[in-house]
Amino acid sequence: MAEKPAASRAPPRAQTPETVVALLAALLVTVLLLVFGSPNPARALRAFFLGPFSNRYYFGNMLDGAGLLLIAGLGVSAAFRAGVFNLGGDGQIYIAGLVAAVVCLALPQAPALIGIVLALVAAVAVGMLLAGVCGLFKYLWGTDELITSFLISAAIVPSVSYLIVGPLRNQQSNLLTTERIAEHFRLLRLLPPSNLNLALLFALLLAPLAYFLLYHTVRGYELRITGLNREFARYGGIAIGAYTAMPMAISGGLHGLSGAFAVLGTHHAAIQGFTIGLGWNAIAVALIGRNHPLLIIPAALIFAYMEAGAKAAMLHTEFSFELGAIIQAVIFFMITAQVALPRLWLRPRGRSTAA
Amino acid sequence: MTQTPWLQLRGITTYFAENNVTANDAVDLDIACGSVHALVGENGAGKSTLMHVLSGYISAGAGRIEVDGKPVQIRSPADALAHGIVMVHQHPPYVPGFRVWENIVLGMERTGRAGLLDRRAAADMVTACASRYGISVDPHARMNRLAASQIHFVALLGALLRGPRLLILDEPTAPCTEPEVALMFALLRSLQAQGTSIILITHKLGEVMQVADRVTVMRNGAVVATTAVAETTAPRIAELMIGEDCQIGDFDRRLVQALAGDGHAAGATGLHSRPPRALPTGRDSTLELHKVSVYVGALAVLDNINITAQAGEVLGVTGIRENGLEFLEDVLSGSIAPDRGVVLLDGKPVKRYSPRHFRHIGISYIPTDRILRGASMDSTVAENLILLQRKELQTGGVLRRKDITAFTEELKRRYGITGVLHQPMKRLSGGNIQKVILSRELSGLRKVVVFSEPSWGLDLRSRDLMYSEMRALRDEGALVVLISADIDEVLSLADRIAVMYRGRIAGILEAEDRTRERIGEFMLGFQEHNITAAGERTNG
Repeated sequence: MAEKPAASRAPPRAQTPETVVALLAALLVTVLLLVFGSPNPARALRAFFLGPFSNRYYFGNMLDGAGLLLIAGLGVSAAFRAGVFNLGGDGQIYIAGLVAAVVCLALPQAPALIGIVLALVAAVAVGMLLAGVCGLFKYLWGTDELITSFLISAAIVPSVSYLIVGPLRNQQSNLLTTERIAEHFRLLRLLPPSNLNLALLFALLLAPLAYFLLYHTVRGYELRITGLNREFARYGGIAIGAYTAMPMAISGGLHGLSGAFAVLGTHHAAIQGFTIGLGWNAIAVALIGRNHPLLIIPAALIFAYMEAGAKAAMLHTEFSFELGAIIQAVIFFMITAQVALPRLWLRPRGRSTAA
Repeated sequence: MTQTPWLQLRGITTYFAENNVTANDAVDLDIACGSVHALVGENGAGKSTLMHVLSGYISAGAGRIEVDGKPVQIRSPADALAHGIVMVHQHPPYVPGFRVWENIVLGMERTGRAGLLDRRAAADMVTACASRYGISVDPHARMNRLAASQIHFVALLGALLRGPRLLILDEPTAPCTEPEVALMFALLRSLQAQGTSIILITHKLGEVMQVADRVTVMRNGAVVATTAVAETTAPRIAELMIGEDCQIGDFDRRLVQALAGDGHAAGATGLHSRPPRALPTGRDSTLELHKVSVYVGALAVLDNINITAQAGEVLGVTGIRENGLEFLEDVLSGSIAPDRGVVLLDGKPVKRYSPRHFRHIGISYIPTDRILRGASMDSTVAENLILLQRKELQTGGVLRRKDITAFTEELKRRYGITGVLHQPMKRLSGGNIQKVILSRELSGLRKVVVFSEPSWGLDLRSRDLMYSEMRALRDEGALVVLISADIDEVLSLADRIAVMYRGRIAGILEAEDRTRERIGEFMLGFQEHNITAAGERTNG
């Protein structure tokens, strides 16, 4: 039996320790890396643990990163929950970011609200299209959505990079970036000089909404049942075809939204590689949060904190490794290992009540 | 046969905090060398839990286990195996895509040169063991292609290869046909002769009387009695199971009486009366299979089936399961479309062959495969219960929590489901899972109800309740199809009995000519040629 979150109102307690163990293991490996890899371990540790809280800039950026992770993480779980897998999040976020930027750049005179809404709609639509197509192919011909979404994304990433450094490049900038979007399209900054903006509040509203849809509506029920047992869902008269394409499209749409906010809120332009890795980190976040919309909130915060801490440690010491990437890899490894090898941490006590 | 106890359990107590159930309450049990020890009790009595403790799948909260007089610690199935204790589960777990031999050697793989799995040796070992015990199974078949009874035999084979001193079998005969039951019992006797002890969990008292030396009766997590089988009777055991200390009500008395004669006649108690339900279409529905054939490759697994069933009757379909019962189940539930022929409801061909459409037109269905098809094991009990009522329990797409609680509590109470509604389905025992499925499928109004092997794993009380529900459905004008390889069950419930042989209807028996012997003859194909005419008679 797959170790999946049980569909009860309260998230099951028995499974939480495993996630905590995985996170602690990741933290331990990180600390060991800092202690043995840095010429000044004390400073590195201090920067890692306290850096994200040391000033408004770091703190705000951490929360901003958590917001984007939260939206994308909800996107990952939307597909996971229905038993389909969207591995193309990275490409979907990246192209959606570019699309949002292009919409804003094409309509510099448009009123703020119209421009923002158009950019968001276009970005969500492109994400839905890219992922939804994979779901549709699975429904029509049984192609593996895990492979198609990954491959499409793998082709999208260099194509978007080409557009940013080529035809759409801002020649005046030293960065490989498009031009910056007009001021009135930029979302309100909440904690200047950091990047924190309104997108975080939006993300925090989105999670309970997702929870409500998943646990309190018939469609959410049907989606979860389909994800847990397709044969049972079919037997019960649920239109399982719809729950193949639809969750993929929703997943892609949420990734697209995350990409749009990265432009409208965080960077104000599409920069080469500016969201790369976000899609993969979102998978880790969804797994830490056990695909539960409300648990994904703390999961995104924890992940963003560790990421920000790693960045701070790198900036404040002569730490030479790509520490951030290593920490992400460690967390990813620990979490996925724990998902792939369930029940190794804890002995199953009281697994079944007897006949 | 009974010598000094080889294995002793003392004060085994298992408490499940999450649903506040004490599944085993200070249980003592002695197992002698080379004895067949039956363990009986109703669903939820704690039999499987006790055996899971003994075989290392769960750990007991308290108590001790002694082998040969020495205390042992059993913390995992590997620990249990080290003491020669092996359990074959009620629903044996397996890897679906694996071949039979791969499944069997999993965990005891022998490696040849360069650390590679010695495939041929493994397959040969399996073949040798199978032929030694007279089990016929292709070691290279894929697990997911096997029938339920074959999966059981494969699991048994795996257990035998591990050379058990104590073999624990959890309802091993539930999915078996009669010849398979005979094979199983012969096997148990030869094991016993070799000195292997066997613990047999079962609901069938006939089996207890037939093969067991001793019997332990459990109720509410405690042992109520252990006696030699020779010194007791089936009615006495039934009494102990149901409880003599509490007042035996009218129902229980009749149940015990019925049991004494035949376990399957229990439905005759006719209790659990309920207000009659009005059916949407009255008494005029008919369900007809017209020239239905299903092919697997070139083989006709259903071959030109013609049957008509009327509202207000129980049509029994029996035979050896592999002779087409599974495919008939799939066609009748819309799970597969026939390659030829049509299914007609009320004289009209069904529009689509999908479970969704079949449910839409009023066909309810209790499947043989409860774990994969009949339930979502990772969903909660409540979520399993509302599957068919989800549209009635919502307003504007939002589920009404209060109504769901009321609805599910009502089903739980009426069917005596033991378990907590917001817990995952996988925490329930096999019998309780079936109760959840039954209560769900029988809630609401249905024209047609298809039961397939509905009584596997059910205890006497639940079986009785189900049988009276089935009769009540019929009396209210529903059309009931009962697909069951259990001849006695079909005999006691069905108004007419269709017997399948090699994908064909070998005969349809009306009230006057139904006997076990006649059915047996049709099942085994003795009368195939004479009877074709009878099969077509119903077709008009």
